[in-house]
Amino acid sequence: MDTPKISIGQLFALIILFVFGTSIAVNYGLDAKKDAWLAILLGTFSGCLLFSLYSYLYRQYPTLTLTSYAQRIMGRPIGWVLGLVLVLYFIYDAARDVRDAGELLVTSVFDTTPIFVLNAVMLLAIAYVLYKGIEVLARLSEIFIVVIVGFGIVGSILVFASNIIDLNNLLPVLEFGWKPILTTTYPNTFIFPFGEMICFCMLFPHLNNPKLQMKTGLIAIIISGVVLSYTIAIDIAVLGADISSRSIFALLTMVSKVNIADFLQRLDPVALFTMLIVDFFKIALLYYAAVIGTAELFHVKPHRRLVMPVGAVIMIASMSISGSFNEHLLEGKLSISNYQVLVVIGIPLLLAAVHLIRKYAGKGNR
Amino acid sequence: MKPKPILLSWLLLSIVVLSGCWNSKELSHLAIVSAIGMDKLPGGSEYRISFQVINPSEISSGIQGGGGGRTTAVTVFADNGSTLFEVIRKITRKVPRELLFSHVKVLVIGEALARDGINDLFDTFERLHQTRLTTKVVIARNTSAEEILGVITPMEKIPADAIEGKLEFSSNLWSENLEYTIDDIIRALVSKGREPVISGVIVQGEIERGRKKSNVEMSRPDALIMVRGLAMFKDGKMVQWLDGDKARGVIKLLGKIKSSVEELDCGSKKDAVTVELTKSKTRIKTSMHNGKPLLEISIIEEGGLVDTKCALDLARMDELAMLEQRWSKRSAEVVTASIEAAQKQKSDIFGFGEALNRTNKLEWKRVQNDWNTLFAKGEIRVVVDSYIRNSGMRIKSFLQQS
Repeated sequence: MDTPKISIGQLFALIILFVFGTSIAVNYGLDAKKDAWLAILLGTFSGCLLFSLYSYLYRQYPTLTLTSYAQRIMGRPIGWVLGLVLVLYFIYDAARDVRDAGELLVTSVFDTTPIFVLNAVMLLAIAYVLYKGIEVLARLSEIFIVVIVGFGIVGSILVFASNIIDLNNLLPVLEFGWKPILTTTYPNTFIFPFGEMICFCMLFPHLNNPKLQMKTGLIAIIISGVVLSYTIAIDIAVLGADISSRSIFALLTMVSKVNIADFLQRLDPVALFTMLIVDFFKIALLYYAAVIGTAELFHVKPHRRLVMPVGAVIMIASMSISGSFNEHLLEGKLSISNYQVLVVIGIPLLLAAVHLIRKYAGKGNR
Repeated sequence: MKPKPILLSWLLLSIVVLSGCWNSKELSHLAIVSAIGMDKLPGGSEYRISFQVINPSEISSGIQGGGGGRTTAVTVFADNGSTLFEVIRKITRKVPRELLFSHVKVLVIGEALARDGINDLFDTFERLHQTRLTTKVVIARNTSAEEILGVITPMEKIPADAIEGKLEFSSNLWSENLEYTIDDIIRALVSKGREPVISGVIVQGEIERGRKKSNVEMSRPDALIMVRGLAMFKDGKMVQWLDGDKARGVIKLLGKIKSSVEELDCGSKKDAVTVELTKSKTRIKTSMHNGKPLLEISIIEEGGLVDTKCALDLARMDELAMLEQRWSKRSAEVVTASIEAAQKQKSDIFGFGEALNRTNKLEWKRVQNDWNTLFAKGEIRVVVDSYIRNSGMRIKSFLQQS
């Protein structure tokens, strides 16, 4: 089989873009109010642990994807069902992110455009990339990581230069103690986006340098987590914890305050662009994981034949997932703390446990 | 290459998508709103909301020129309704175009409405994507917002630009006002440890004649919009106007002063020395002592001497030091007077409550619910350090030679 290859740099870029996807745009972690940035750092730390678990499983089966080694570890029927659950999760999560992107556009710019059209345009673009193969997505990430870093640096300079930051908005630290931080981190800032990185388990077999997988992944997670924490802290410092936590897209509101000499202002499109780019990669990776997973479960070859059908399912799911954006957000919170926790932590833990038992019990028998 | 039909379908699809016409709004069908005014209707819960709409043909500077000079640069449309959004739609019966709110510079609130409470006004501004949080807010003093919006202003064609300019430059150079935007006010309304202050605008002269274009066709306009005073709020309701030194004291305490003018006595001559304040830094700290707050303020200010009417020998350091001391004393008095005025109304417009939360969050949690009463009893301690850094292009005054 001619497996496409992903370089370690591309993995790095993909992880960073994936972590930023939606989380950088929304009022992420703001249940912890002024201490959201702390909750994110804590989430990042926990995310590193979770990533180590994913990496451990990968090292045991360096040539297989998650859905394949699930069957290898658990045996055909149970493993297959677990694989199906994972694929459904990928589809569900991709649909959520498509909806996020669509709602972002509807609420901020295209107020009379049907969300169906916006979602469809997004998905068609991604479907085209995936149809061309994962290598295309990986190469794309190398370009867009530069764009995003550029936006980030320029945006930061502009925010600092327009003198809208009031650090008093971040004080006092730990206003309500550790409790709100912990309840926000577990499960919110932990699962979203670090738990969602389980979709990378479908990607690892394509790495051209498996030895650096874990190190690169952890560095990428830490960098993106710190940047995320910084971004949310800036949101709070500019808008205050109250306005940030009530805004759906805090970054957009924050950037709209930038004003340099009455000349550089109304930078919302830049923020919008950033959000769309990072969301694009997040959807693409989840979408890809869903396609690969389905192909392996149902033995479809080549897997690109599934790009359109899976895309159609994601499309329909993104529309039917909820009746209003408010419901969508509430459902997100509920599903993270119930269903998503089980999938992204429960299944890998189960797999690792069974794998260990089989390894040592097997040795004992011999 | 095989997948020609796919390629073709992509190209066809992109025609639909890339044209981007779905949300199109033609410029010729839009009416740009430069300012919004909100007033209370006497009796009942309805508002009277007015929109200052730009007449594009009057603004475009002359090349094509067709129709220019026919009307005033802006027209004010107003209607009644119980919410802003209702009026936005209702007003279409009077305005021949669709209103566009992306460029609203100023929100004017009538004094009567401000005294009645502003808590209910800002929700729509946050929700709609066209309106911006950076819109500046002012209170129409002694008059209605609708009247303010109707005044035609000299120098700036669009009256909202004129208000914005006056607000900006008087805040930067005179410092009895604040350029507070919608989000600043929301933050203050939400916070238990702070109350908002909003700058006032008045119409000087005859409002009736200010509405006509002829108002700007004379060298001394009949009516002029002027920025004046600070409205102090309590629980979302306006309670009092602060003027002159009291207003400046508030700005100083908020640390928003950029540049200002300070008058100092010189011997027996009152206000005989003028100092241009160029830099001022304020720190506030609140702590609780025996159930009473201690409000500590430290101010460091710098400036240069720009005018003197008395024979000062500015080459001597002790003269300068004496001036600096006098300045410090005066600033302390001004600031104290401002705090006392706010204490009288039990309204913590300075954010001393927030300062307490920053230094002692546990104590704050205990006292936050009756903070305003506690604040009124607070003990004030002001320390001011003033520095006169230069005296302009001369050292001694020519008055001293004669």
